[in-house]
Amino acid sequence: MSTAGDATRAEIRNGASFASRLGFAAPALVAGGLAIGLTALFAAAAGADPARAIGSLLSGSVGSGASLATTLLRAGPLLLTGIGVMLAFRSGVFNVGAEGQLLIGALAATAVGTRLGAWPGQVVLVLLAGAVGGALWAAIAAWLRARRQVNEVITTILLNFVALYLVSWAVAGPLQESGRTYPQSDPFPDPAMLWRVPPGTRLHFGLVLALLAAIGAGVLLSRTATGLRLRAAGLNPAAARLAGFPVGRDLLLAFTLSGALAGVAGAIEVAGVTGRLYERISTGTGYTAIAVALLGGLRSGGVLLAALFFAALATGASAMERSAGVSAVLALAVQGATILIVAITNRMSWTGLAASSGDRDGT
Amino acid sequence: MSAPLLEATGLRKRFGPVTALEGVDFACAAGEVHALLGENGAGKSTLASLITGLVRPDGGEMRWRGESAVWRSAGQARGEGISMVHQHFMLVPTLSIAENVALARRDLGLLDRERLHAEVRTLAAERRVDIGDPSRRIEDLAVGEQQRVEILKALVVPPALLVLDEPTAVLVPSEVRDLFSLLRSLVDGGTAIVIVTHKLAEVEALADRVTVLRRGRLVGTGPASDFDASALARLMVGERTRTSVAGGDAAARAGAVVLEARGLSWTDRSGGRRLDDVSLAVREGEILVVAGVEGNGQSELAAALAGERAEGLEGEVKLCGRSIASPAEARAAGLAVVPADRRRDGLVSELALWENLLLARDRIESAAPRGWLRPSEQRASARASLEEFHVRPADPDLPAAALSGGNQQRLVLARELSREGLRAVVAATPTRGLDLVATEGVHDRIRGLARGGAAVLVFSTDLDEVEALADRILVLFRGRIVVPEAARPERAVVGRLMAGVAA
Repeated sequence: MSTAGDATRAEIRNGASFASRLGFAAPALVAGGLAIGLTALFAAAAGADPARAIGSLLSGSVGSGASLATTLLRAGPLLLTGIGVMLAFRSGVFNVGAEGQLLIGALAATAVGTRLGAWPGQVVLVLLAGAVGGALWAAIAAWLRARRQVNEVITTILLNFVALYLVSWAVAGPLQESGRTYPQSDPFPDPAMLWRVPPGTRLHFGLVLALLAAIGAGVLLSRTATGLRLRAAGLNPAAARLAGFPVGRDLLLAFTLSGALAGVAGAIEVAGVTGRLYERISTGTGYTAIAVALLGGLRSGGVLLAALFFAALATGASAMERSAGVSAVLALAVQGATILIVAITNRMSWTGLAASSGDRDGT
Repeated sequence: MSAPLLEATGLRKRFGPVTALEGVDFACAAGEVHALLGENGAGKSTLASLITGLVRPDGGEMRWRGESAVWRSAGQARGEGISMVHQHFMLVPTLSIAENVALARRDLGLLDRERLHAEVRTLAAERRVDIGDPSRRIEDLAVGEQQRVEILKALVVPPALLVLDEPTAVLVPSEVRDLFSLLRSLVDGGTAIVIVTHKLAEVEALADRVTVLRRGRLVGTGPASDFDASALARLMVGERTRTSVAGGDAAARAGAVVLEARGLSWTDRSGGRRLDDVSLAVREGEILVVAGVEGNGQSELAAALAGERAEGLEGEVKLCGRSIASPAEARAAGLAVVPADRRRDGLVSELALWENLLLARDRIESAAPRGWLRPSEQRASARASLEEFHVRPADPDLPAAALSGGNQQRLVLARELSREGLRAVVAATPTRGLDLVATEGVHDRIRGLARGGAAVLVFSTDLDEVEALADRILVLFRGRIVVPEAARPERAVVGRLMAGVAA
């Protein structure tokens, strides 16, 4: 655990060295170890065989081609939303509305996928619709914050509920399947579905997109003038304003970009996995994304590992339930406890740093 | 003076490399108001903190009621009868007066509202602190009323010694009169009062004894009647310490007006008039120094000149003839800004030094013309710039938080004073925290910028600096510009104007 704290500190002290970049993988790796230990503990407490529980957790998440594919499919939307949350948080925007932005993205993608016929290249527009849907949904909260000083934590959370009920209404209304039997949309036609990458597997191009988004966001933040402006505004808005930076415009940019990534996550879920929209299209992905972003230390590489970790934990938990008779709910407990421990250790190193560099100018 | 209640000898306190107090003696007696006078940074707040146990001394001795005393905490000092009223109120704004008082005295009934109100009313009457209806919420009160609640809190258990840190800083004159009569009645009841201030008028109105600090050392102490205002002003700002030759040749080179403020007025939320119809103009090649004791509107004026439009700000700021409505516009028009609070406004502590050097619109635009930063190039040019301004350590990858206060100041100066196409400079206390050599270096650079045609406005609290830099001097007092009769008046005249004594 101290490794995680020390790594953070090292990164802060020598911003760019290669070793310290790797250091940001530490929280996710530590979390992995912790999760295994905690699972054993909880399983034993629940009266199951710990060794067997862990065995099935591991084999059920990464042990076979099929389980690995399921883990990766889960990791895609987590990574996209996690990167979106990371971008927002680094820019001082507390966007906790990835869930709603994902849902609206899925909704917009479904509208384009199922209501506009079928034509070659349609999937491109499906993805775009997802991005635009998520971005516009985020733009509501962004506008309220920039123009009306309304706290975005409140607006984005509330908009999550609005989005959820919008989807419920749509799948029972304008987007409902032609047969009008179940509250779900028509299936996506072939040209609206994502390409299989590699062909013949369940894996799809959306995962490639997620990876590209992670790299792109990292480059944007650390290698561009815009990224520096965003980070400066996130860490010290007063200084950014005095520097003459377009703080309001940058806020809109970070917020909508964050929403667009969540929207794409929704789009790749419907156009890559389910092939249609229904009410419970997201099982809290947008909320888990916050934990993913924080556990990943708000760095692209860390977020990637954290997304894989959370996806593997969820996939492995269902396997564990089937073969070791341990309730999958236990995985949620492990997930929660892991986040808590990692958060506490990280927090400690941050306060330690703050104290060591405290004000020395007092009289 | 009767037998002292508190007597301190040879107090010493260091904060890192900075000596805040050195060999200071201090004593106060029951039934007396003792004014602790000094410029900003003179060490008066540190001394107050030592007396009240907030900070522990590094050396020296303290005696309380004749016995040697070492305070381990502010709580212990309070238990012994020493209370403090802080400059920044320690009140919960969303709670009522009564609830805030109850927080200071845990045995007051909090759950029974009626009983609590009655008890607080009785307490206020006994201590003769007028707080009005105790059910009102703190955030609805005027600042003067909030202060009375703070004082009532300090008096819950009647203290033998009450320390007030700059109690009048936020008060309007009528509130000051009320405060003084309250303090008088406390003193008549036998309380000892220490009042930390930099206002000479308050010493004359209230103090029985006075102690003057300058740069952490004791420069004068005795009965208040032994000192007149100009003697105190002289002690506060010090005698002439060096004979630096100053500008003065600006008249020859001063050109068109570059930076201009017209009728700037601003009233803060609690009704305090922080800027009162401020107008000024700085010409090409000229160094205008606005002298003043901190808290008289400097930070508000500096922010307005930098383009910030605080809510309710009246008046206009013009740069090169164009009206400025945002810091972005000010930057675009060629303004460099050295903010007074560099940690809050000038730096991002978590970012690396090279990144901090880019935190100005024009700098980042020229460093990344197509939007791409080239970190290795930026690091190299950052290193050169850090070395030029003697930032230690000159490692561009360190976060700004790793630097000491003086080096953070150098970092901001390195960014702001070495810019291309600079037309005007607004620098608030640009040499605070720097040693003499570094100060000289910054002064040279500022003069160089003016010679190069920039209009320079410097806010300063230090008379040495005022003399060293100014082509022209204005004084800011209580949000108003005072124009001395001469362009470069005598040192003592400036000192008196800064302290609010008519010249």
